[in-house]
Amino acid sequence: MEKKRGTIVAIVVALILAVISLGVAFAAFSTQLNINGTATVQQSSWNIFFASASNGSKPSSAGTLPAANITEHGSASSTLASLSADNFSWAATLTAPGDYVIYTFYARNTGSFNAKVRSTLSPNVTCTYADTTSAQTFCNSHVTYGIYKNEACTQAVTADDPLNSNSSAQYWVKVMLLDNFATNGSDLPTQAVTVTAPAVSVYYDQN
Amino acid sequence: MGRRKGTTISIVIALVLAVVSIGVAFATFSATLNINGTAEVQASNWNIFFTSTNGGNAAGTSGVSITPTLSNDNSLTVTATGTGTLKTDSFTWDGTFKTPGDRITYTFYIRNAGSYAAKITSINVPDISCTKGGSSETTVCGKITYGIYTNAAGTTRLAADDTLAAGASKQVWVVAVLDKNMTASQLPNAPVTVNPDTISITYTQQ
Repeated sequence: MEKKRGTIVAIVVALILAVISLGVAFAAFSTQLNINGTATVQQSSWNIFFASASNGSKPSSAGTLPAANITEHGSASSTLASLSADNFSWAATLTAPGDYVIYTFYARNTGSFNAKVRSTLSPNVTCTYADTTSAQTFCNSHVTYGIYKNEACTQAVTADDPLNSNSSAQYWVKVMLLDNFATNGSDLPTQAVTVTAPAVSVYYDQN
Repeated sequence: MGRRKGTTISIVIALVLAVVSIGVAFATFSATLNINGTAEVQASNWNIFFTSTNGGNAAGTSGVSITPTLSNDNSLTVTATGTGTLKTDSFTWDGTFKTPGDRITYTFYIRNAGSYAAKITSINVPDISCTKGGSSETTVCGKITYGIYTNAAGTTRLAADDTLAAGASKQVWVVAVLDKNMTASQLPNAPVTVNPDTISITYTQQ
């Protein structure tokens, strides 16, 4: 009886050892590979706005453009020059051929990313006579309007113009009654002409 | 009585002789069949590791530098940076993002130089946690995608049951991306530290 029990114990021990040895063998055929990483998302911002000075701060509300930023040529006069962070509105009276008004201000990029002009709102003007009839033909021939990137107002702001981070771009908005009338003045307007221009809108994309 | 005893003895002797004679006869008709064999347990090993080249050697314990490919999903100027160190059984990287769409891509190989086919029995998709100024951050954190992939585009994750035949190498890509559709208001006003979980890949004999 005692001998039989001993045999059973020996068999059980042998089985346990066999199972353990299988486990050891299984572990030996397994590999763990690890991938560790850390990253930092840097501080950044996107901040582009109009300002009256190259280092000006972002206007919190619409304000009048300083007189120094307005050029009235001939008998022309500006009656409105309102600049906010994202809008410029103007109004002017042009009396004699060759009259023009130039407004200048800045687009500032104080954000982290370089930008470029995606597009500009087409600065087409609409014109009406005092009797509300269309004066579009007159304007098309005698009035020019645009937003330019040089003081001489010969180079229009166009798509892909850059505005890099921490830089400014100076713009000039010019409206002019051309000096191209007939020498006999036959095409001068017989009524006042109201010229309506859309707000200057410049769209920027990250560059 | 004495006669009977003699008879019994005779019978016993006869039986003994008969048995002996049968044995002799049996021996006459017996044959010895032998089975002999030799066997060899071939050399084999289990050896799976990271390597920087297809079919290359293990990256070693001191590690080799892995230079990432840096790009931007919006085709913008790339502002991401990254470094990586590959060792035999680990890959450690560090990177920085700045512009939405910034993408950091590392590529290397997992090689099975052992004798047995293997397959992945365990791999985790890593959770990502972030901090900003010592506090938990979730807005930017939710814009980070990270993992190990089987394609360069970073669209197919390396997953369980993926096999690796004996002698084969598998190219993998570790990709981290800052979402290209972040809005200006979601940009961080202070650096955000991103801490992804360790990705652990367990290969087991197939």
